[in-house]
Amino acid sequence: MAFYKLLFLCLFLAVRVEAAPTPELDRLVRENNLLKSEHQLAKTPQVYVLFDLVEKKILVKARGTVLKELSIDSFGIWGKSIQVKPLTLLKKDALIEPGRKEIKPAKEGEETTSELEVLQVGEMPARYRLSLDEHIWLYVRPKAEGTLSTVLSILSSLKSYLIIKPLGTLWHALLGESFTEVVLYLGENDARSLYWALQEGSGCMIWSE
Amino acid sequence: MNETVCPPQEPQPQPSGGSKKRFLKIAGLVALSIWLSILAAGYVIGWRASRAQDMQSTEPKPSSSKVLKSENAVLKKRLQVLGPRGLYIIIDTADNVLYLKEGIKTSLKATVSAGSGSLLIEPSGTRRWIFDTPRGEFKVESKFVKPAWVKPDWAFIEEGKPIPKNPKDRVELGMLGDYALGFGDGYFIHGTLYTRLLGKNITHGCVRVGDEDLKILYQAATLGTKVLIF
Repeated sequence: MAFYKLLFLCLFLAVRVEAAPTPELDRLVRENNLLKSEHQLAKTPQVYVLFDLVEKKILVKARGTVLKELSIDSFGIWGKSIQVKPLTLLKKDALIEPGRKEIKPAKEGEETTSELEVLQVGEMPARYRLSLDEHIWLYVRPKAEGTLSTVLSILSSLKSYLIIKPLGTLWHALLGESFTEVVLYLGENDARSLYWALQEGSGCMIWSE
Repeated sequence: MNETVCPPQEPQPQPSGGSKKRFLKIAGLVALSIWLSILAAGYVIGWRASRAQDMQSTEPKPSSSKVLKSENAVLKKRLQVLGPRGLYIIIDTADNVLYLKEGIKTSLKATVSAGSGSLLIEPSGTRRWIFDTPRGEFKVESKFVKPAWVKPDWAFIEEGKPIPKNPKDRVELGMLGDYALGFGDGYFIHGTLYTRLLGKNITHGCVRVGDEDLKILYQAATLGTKVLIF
């Protein structure tokens, strides 16, 4: 009887081992999802962005071609795990958003002004929130350099830990929705470049562990 | 004379400073407990969500790694097909740089000027223009030597001049440099008289390039060359 019990246990374990996905298979499934998602975005003539948290880089792409690569200094994820799929950037929010400058038309017979009313990448914010669909909030923050930047980073972290993470999760859970917060720390210029490159409605993908 | 003596009044019970402090202390503790409970609930839900496997995936996952490997190889090929073949142009409107590339090899890196992003509203308020360089994938649709600029309405409005009725009065020579490459909707990669402004976002949506770089670009690009702008 004990022999049969042992045999049954061995068979059961063998079946369990067989059923468990191997790391290689898991990697292939994830790669497959990434390629399918990217193919969907690359079919359109629009620019899209891949947030590759595994390689710690952000790739601005079009038609599968890398247009620009930005590196991520560090990052943090909170909430529901992100499955790689095509996402849409719904909104960009910053404390001080850059506004378009209005050209004042010259009056008849008046010389046109030589002052340039232009918008440069340096005027873009380095600290902002990108709201993606599936209730994914992606915060971009510059690497803390200098006293002011360090203080702002501490305040942002406090806001994140005391308000956004718990309340965001609870609020969305009450509504029966998932919630994910991703915080990305980039170089200041890279953060501004990313703000410039991303337009509301742009396609995005997040590739994480 | 009878003197009326008021009986000493009973002192009204007044909240002492001590009990007020106690009340505030209790209220504070209650508020803190509620807040901590909310935080804890949020953290527990979030932690559980991060641990939970996503069971809602509707995609049937092929179980064989052989099938997946071949499927991934096909997908990679399909992605490659979507990308530009041969020479292509990349324009970075944030850094005002143009790259002429073939595969991963860069044969030209030029400082350019892209759209200013400014807004112009017609004094009557009927029309408005936003001077952005369009983004996405385009292709070279036309090529011109010694191009003439046919000034659009906004150019006259900006200069405070009346919009001419005769189309010939719109033509201006020498403004677009020696060459121009059209990439659709009236947008061009062209030369400039204002070379000191290269590297800044100052145009009305076109891409200005310096003379020497423009010549290389004109000679290399053919009709159909892909232009990727971001």
